[in-house]
Amino acid sequence: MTLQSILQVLVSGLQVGCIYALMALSFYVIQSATGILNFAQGEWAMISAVLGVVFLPFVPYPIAIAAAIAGATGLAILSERLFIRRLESRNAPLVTVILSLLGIMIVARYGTALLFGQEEYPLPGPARSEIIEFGGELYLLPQTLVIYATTVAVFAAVELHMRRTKLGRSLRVAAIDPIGAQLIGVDLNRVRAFAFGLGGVIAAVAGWLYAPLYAAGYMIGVVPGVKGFIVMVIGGMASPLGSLVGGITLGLIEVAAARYLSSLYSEALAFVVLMGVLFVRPEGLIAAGTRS
Amino acid sequence: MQEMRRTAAAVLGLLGMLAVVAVVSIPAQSQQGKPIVIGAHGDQAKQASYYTLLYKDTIEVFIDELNASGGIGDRPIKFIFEDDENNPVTAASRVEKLAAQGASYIISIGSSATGIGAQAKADEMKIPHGSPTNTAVRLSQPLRNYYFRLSITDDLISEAMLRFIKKKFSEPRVAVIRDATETGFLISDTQIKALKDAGVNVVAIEQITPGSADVTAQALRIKEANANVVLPSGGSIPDLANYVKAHKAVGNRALMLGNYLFTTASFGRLTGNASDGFIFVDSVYPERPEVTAIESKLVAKKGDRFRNNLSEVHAWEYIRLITDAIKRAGSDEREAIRNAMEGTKDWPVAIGPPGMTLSYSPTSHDLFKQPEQAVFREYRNGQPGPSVPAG
Amino acid sequence: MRWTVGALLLALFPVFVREPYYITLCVNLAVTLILTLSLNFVVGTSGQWSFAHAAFFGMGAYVPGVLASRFGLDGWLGLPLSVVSTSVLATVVGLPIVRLRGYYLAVCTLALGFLAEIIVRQAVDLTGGGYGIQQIPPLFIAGYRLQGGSYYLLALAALLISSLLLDNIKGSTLGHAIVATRDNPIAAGSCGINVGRVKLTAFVITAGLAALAGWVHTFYYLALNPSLLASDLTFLWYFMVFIGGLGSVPGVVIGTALLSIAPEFLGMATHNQVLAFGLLMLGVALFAPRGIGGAVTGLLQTGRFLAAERSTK
Repeated sequence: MTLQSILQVLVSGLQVGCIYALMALSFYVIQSATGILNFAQGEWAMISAVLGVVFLPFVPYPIAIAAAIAGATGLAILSERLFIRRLESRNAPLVTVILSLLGIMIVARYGTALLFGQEEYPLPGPARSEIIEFGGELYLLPQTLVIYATTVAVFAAVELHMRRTKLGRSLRVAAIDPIGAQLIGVDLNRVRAFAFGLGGVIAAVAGWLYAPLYAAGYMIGVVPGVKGFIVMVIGGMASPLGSLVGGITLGLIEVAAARYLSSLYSEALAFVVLMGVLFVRPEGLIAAGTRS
Repeated sequence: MQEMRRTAAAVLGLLGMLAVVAVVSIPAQSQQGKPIVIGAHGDQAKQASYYTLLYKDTIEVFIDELNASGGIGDRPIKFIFEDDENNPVTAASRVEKLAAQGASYIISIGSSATGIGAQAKADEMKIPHGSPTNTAVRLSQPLRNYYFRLSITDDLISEAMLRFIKKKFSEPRVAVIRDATETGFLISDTQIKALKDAGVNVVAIEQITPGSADVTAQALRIKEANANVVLPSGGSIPDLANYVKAHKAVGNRALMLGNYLFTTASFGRLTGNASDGFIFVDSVYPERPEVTAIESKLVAKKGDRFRNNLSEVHAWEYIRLITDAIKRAGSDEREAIRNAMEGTKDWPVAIGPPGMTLSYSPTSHDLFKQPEQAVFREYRNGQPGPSVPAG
Repeated sequence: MRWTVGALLLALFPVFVREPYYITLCVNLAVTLILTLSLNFVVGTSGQWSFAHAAFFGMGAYVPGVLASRFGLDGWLGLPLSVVSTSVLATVVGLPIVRLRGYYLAVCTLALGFLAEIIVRQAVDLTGGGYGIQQIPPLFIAGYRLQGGSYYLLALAALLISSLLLDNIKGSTLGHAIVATRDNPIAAGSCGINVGRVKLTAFVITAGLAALAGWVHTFYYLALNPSLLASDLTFLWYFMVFIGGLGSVPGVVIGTALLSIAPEFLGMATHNQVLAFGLLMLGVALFAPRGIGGAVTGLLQTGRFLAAERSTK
């Protein structure tokens, strides 16, 4: 357990953890503002990556990123408009809303399989792909730095937004008391549409961070989606900080367990630890009232 | 009470309705009917789908050609495919469904696990069956009367890899890395056992977390263990490609040795140059003219995905064998076909080394008998390349 | 009364069908019905979102299967062992879990589901790992082997017992307590109901029924493999319950039958099948929020209403 290896675990664990954290955040902004758990978040990340593969042969890189993220976000907003808004306006029971969210997830995933095909394609990251080496034992991809920077930027932006801007504050108010919020003039429809859009953008960005390290294909949204949700819950649903802390924790545990214990059981171990956290602290790692 | 009766009635009623629909809809095949039915099951949508679809297309091209020239004895061949969702238990019920539609032969073009599931049922129903590519040893050893195999078996592959490793390294130090799929567990378990039985030093056994954005931990563990050869195995190409990239990224010079499952196009795409030098064991010699002939025909009819992969040659030869057996049997009766298959002697086949011929007997329903018949191929420029010497 | 007798007669049809394929379909449907009815119970009646259903099904299938094939234990003895061991596991796991609500419960049970599958795949010596176990010794009654049509009768019996059990519970004191803890746990608690114990009971009963379904599955197919524990299955059962109509038993039956049978006759690839289910769910959510069962009941009620109107004119 040399210093070098600890540093490597930190680097790798943070890389993995940041992606989980972003996915958790995308779940969080929607869940906190509307109480809705949107299963489809992983799929927006996937669609953003797949659209990237589709657009890249035809347009310059920056345009491809923008178009792909816009496309995925657009689909997220569309799904809210077509389904969730209609259901909420009818005061449909939770079950029905969940039903439609599951449906959206399925249509997004298998619709992509139908249109894009079942194979995986590589997605180049915005930076060079050569590995950076430190002293022969620390390995870093430029993409890793991109991930760190983007994660910090996104979290900071969301925090600032929710505290400073009117729309952001109305998101928080709506989370605490929907009826009270309406009384003071907050338009819940607008809040919800914005939350879905914001969640979609975050997931789409996460997709561009993840796919260059993995692949772009119709199934790649499953793992980030599931883990993102779990991380949001374990990290704590009281503030975005919970998602950040939860994501980094899971990433570090996974990589550390693989590096020092056994990669055969690292995933199972991480699950067990997480479940343990919930038993000890059901409200998650970062509970309400904890300020950064 | 009302609720109870209503529930029970609803439940029973539906089951009954199903039965009626079933009896009425699919008519039993009369033996007087024209087409000869050949059935196949495989994974159309999940993990094994890349190969299933490749083989399905191959079989369809062959059957179309055969039907265009009159079929067998003026009877056309009808090919029915059923999706088994990569689930062995579902595969068994697919066999039943194919049997209900009059199949005289059933081909397994999915994973080995589903092949095993199907075999139990096809054996019971006395339908001749088999697989062009399933490699699990237990499928044909001990011998099953109704099962006929064309592909090389896991034990021969392991043995071939073992000999290769021993020839190349005076002191082999082997690392095994797998993904978390069923295929990964199955293949790696076979490999580990074979290595240990042969007294080879297994210095590391690692597993890739599914969907992981980082595999450096595993790659570093293997590098630290000083392995000189690494055996990756599994069914999830992105996960395995990630390992290959990490392997090269951490500067590991150890040789990577896999099996033919690494011939999927996405492996080459995802690894790019990182896969250069990756060696895999195959049972098709790319230099044989018979092989290039089949490859060109399929590329012409169905597109570029058939290039370089070559595993579809197994499917081609298998359907060619089955239709030949049906011709020799002179009927589409299952027993007659089984006997004709078993009686195949000195039949030239495009798989295996040049000059390879197939002879089944009441004691062997396998084509490959020795590890030397396997071929080693090397990845070049992100594509499965030519054969290399075995050691 | 006529309905019940008629339904009973129709349901016995498969016993006389020759092709094994149709028997398999019917046995599958019976097993799936036990699973969806019990899922409907824990989610609808008890309000607990359990995603560990496939894990309990798998355990109920593996325990008697492994005991029969590795240790020669008779399949009949495997039944109580399967149900009891799964119930014990559910109790142990459930004790801490029933404290949780909503998402937290979902996450925990989801994690449990994944863990169960990993464990079964890894314990190769016991469970046969990825290849699973084949050639499990079948069930015999008085020297007569249960398979095909006779097995279908067994599956049907298991289904009837499960459905009657669930109905009985719903109408009983326990059932009312369960519903009370779903709707308003605080009020229920103040009425003297032990909320934790009631929820745990519902959770364990569901697990026990899933285990029963697993046992029936094992001795029909006489083979096991880890796909039985895949979380995908739990999601599929949720779809069946939702599309049919959560809380409505006839609805759940219709939903299960539809999603089990239709794909067989349409012959679509699994992907397109699931895509169709997704579109169906969206359709149901928008136009028939109480599920197909709710829609049918609604239509029937409208029909009766109109008929009553007409008869008074």
